[in-house]
This record gives sequence, C-alpha cells and structure tokens, in this order.
Amino acid sequence: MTSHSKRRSKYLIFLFLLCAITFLGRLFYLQIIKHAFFKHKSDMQLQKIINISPSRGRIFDRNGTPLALSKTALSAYAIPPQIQNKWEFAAAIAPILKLPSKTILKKISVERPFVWLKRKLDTPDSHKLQALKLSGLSFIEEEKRVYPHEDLACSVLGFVGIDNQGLSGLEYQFNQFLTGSSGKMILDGDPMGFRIITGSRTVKLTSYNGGDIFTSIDEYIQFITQQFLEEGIQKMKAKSGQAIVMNPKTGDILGMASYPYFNPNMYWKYPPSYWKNKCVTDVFEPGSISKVFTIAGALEENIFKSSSTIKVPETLQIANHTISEAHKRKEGESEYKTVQEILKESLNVGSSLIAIELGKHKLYKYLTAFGFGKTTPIDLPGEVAGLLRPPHLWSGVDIAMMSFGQGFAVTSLQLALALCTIANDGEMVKPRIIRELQEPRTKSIIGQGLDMSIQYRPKLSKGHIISRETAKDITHIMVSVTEEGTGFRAKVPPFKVAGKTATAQKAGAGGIGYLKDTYIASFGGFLPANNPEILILVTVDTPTESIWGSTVAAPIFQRIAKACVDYLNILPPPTLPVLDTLAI
Amino acid sequence: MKATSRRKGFFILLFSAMITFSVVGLIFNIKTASLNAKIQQMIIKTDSLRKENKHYELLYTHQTRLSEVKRIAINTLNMTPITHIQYVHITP
Repeated sequence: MTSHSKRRSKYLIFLFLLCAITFLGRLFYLQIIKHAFFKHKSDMQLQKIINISPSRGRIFDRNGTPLALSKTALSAYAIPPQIQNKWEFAAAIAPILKLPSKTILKKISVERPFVWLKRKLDTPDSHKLQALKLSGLSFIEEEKRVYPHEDLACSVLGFVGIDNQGLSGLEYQFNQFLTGSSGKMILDGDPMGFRIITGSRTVKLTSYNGGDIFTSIDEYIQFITQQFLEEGIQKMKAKSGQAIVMNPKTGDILGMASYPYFNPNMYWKYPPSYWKNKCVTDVFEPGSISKVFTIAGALEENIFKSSSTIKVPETLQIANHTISEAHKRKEGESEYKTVQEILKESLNVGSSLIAIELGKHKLYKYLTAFGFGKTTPIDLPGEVAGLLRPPHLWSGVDIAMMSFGQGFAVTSLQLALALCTIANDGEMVKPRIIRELQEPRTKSIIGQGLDMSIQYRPKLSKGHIISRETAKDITHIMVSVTEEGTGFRAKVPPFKVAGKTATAQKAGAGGIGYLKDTYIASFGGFLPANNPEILILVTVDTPTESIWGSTVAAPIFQRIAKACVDYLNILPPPTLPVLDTLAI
Repeated sequence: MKATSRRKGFFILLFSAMITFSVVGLIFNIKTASLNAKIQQMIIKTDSLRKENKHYELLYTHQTRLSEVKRIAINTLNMTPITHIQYVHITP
C-alpha cells in the first residue's frame, strides 16, 4: 500500500468515525434526552385506553326483593357525514323514535361526526332500528335504571337522570355509593388502533361497581300501605296523603307512602310535586295527636295523674281568644273530666288547662324532647325540621294552641317517631330506612373480591324522654281512645290498639291564618298496645267527603293494621277460652 | 485449518441454538395467542351471561311484583281476599 492510499484510507476511517459519532450523538439525543417525549408518542400510537364504566348498585327491600335494578340498553346516535340521504334517514327512523322527522332532520343537519338521536331505547325499538341497517346510524350500550315495581316506594327510592345520576330519594342520597368508580384499562394495539391479542393489558385505574343498598322497607307492607292509602284518599276525595308504618322497637320504616304516586321509570311525565317524599319534606300542624305529648309531659312532671279530675268548661278565654271544642257538649254532661277523658274525648279546653298548669317552658321542653322542631337522623334527602318557636316568641294564647297541636308544624316522620317513643316505653328510637350498605369490592372486569358491608343497627337516643310508667299510662289512655273514644274506627279486634285521632285546620300560605274548610285528618297508633310491634301514622290532606281524623284516617289505619297483623303473624294475647276472630 | 473448522462448528451451534429458541418461542407464542383468544371469548361470554342474568332478574321481578300477583289471583284464578282470621287458643 502506498503512502497516498494509506492517507486516503485514514481519511475514510475518519469520515466513518465522524458519521458514527454523529449517529451516536443523534441516538443519544433521541433515546436518552428526548426519551419521555418519544415514549409518550409511541404509547399514543400503540396503546388504546378504554374507560371502564361501573355498574350502578341495586336497591333491595328488607327481604332481598329488588326495588331498583339496572339493565343494558342501546342508545342510538348518528354520524351525519356518513348519511347519504338525510330526508330518507329521518323519515325512516322517526316513527320508531316517536319523534317528528323535522326534529331528527335538524339534529343530523350538522357538520359534527356524532349526534345523539335517542338514548336508552326500549328493547323492541332498538331491534327495529338495528334491522333498518342504515348507513350513518350507530349504537352504544349504556346502563338504564329500571324500577320493576313501578310506583312502589317511589318517593323513597327516587329516580335517576339520563346519565344515571341520582336526582331524588335514596338514588340521590346514596348516589356516590351506588355509582361506584369508573376505571381505565390500557391495551396494546397496532398503529391503526386495533388491539393486539398477544399484547399486554394493564389496568391503570381499577373500576369498582356501585354498592347495593338493603332498605328497611318491606315490599308487602309498602304495597298494602300504598293501596289502602290510595283507596282511602279516593273515597274521601282528598288532595293527598301520607302513611308511615314503623317497627317502634327498632325504628325500622317498613312502609312509607306519599300519595299521589309516580312511576320513577318515567318520572318526567309527572309534575315535580309528585316526586317529593312528603313524609319528610312537608309540614303540617299536628292537631289533637299532640295532646298525647302535652299530657305525657304533665304526667311525667307529676302535675296530674291519668285519674285526676279537672273542671273543664266548654270554652276558655285566654289572651282575648276563645278556645272551644270541636263538638258541642251533650246536655247535662258533667264539666268535670279526668285526664284520661280529656284525651279520650279529645277536649281542646282540657288540654289547654293541662298545658297552662305545665307551663310554657316545660311544654316546649317536652315538645322538643319528642323530636319536634329538628330533623330526624333519617337517610332521606330534603328533610325539613318543622316549625317550633321558642317560648319567648309565643303569644299569650300559644300555650293553649300548642297543647292541642296548633301553632307549630311537624313532618309525618317526626310525628310517627314521637309516637314510637310512647310505644317504646319512653325511649326514642332513631328511624332507620337503610339496613345495610353492601359495597362490592368487585372489579367490574377482572375477578371477584371481598364484599364490604356496613350494617346499620337499630339505635336508641340518649335515655328516656318520659319514664316507662308514664309511657304505660299514656298507652293505657290511648287504648281508651280506640276502645271507647274518637278512634273506634281504628279498632283491630282481638288486639288492643293505642291511638289518637287528629283533625287540624290547614294553615294559610306562609303560615298566616287558617284556610277555610280545609283540614288535615290524621290517625296515629300502635298495636298490640301491651307489646307494640307496628306503629302506623296516616295523614290525609284536604278530605272533602268528611273532615275528621276518626272517619277519614282511622279506617285507613285499620285496614293497614289488619293486613300487617296477618302478614307479620302477630298473635293476640291468650285469653282462654275465647275464640278470637280478626275481620279483614 | 483446525481454527476454521472450530469456527464453523461454533457458528453451526450458534445458529442451531437460535433456530431452536425461535421455534420454541414461536410455539409458545402460538399457544399463548390461542389462550388469549380463549380468554377474550370467555370474557365476552361472561359479559353476555351477566347481561342475560340481569335481564332474567328483571323479568322475574317484574312478573312477580305484588300488583301482578294480585291481578292474576283475582282475574285468572278467581281467588277472593281473606275476610276473617280465627285465632284458636291451644292449651299446651
């Protein structure tokens, strides 16, 4: 090799080396310095991120009967650029979607690649649409909430919106729990976006299905409560009404109805006023039922005994107001009444005199202790506290008015709960609509995990509100109301029923004055009186055929009570050798 | 000459090993692919069974709702509601 060629080969080697260094430098820049940038770009091309939607949890009654479920439904959408003849397209699908052709035409006459046509279609409609095989028409699977019992417990369950978000009732209250959490999964794919079967599958964010809710509602009791309440309201040509069935020992709400009902599957077809659970959202003046609490306070304070006799005139003048009775007294009837008779005959003047003896501060103390003027710890949305003014805001006549349930406002649930306290030997229970929350740690795609559950145990409030003896005395007086007094239509022989009727004038708009000839008729009671197993409160708003709690609400109470006694297999106390008959 | 034949042997061994590994890898890949396809099918089947189950649960609940039971009892089976319950006391 000559020196010339040697030099040339050295130049060549140097050139190659220079190229190699340049390449290495570039590689170093791309692989090390810009690593993260290009990794991200590559992942974007090769990986496909799939959103995993969780399944919404179910709602059951206390025996495991499903009250709210979810099913798969198809939602139809259009891809306008793929539609060849928009007129024909609109005309073909309009009758199936039950929408005017013009509306559909307007929707698809846009330059967007995606337009919703109708979401969560009924199965037959989706089949019909699929059979059309139209170009530019496509479908997405979505979850649709279904209430198989239609209007059963509608006001308790509530409903969900188009995106499955809870809008009222338990669906709203426990929306987050029922919804679960959505997840993300990364799949390997080719640059075209198709999945590579042998590629990896990484769960980036685990999806958890929504939890299941077990309520305290009993399907059967709810059914008969709704049925008898509706029949009673229609018979009395009333405006609306509520009924609550509870277990006074546990606070379990077995049935809760608010008439008029609605079908949560198509809630939008009903006025929004139907959607409310009026048992917790609406207040009314309780009327004569509150005499029970006035007398309970007086007995507890040892001001009177149930056998104490009081002179009760027909009318009572107090602070320029005249308190009178709802019914005229019979000729020759004694003015002297026992405390028991005052409740049995529902005497306004009598309860006013007892309240005056008790004093306004103590009356207020007992009314608040029984739970009036504050919300209950129930897991239902929209609950109101009612209205109970402190004594320094009372006028001269208020003490008398409040003794028989005027001048303060309560919800049906508050009233039922206060009666539960009497039935439960003076101890107040916490109302319970949820028995158990079952959170499935079930990943919606991969495998099954452990179930987590939160049990809601029955709870008592702190201590006795009234003593056991006072509760027994009041119960005894309340039994006389149904045995001999105004509540005889609520009798459920052979059982002893402790109850009280109420007929309260309806307060005017904004709580000012009273509406003429407009009443709320109620009956609240429990049975068997010696060992209460069920408590029922019925409230009927603006009955027109009759206005009295004894003629309007008591018969509804009786029908519900009889059905509950039969269903819950409650047995009468043994009174040998009599053969007892329960007429249903 | 000796060195050349040793080098030849080395490359033959190397290529044989590479081919063996490739074949074994290919076989495993083929098996994995079919297993993955089976997993995919099973996921689809489970999903469809879950949907079917939901559908039947819904159908069952809908058909056994109390208003429907009452309707069939009265209209189809001509049943009448209970009017009286007699409690008979039995001495132990």
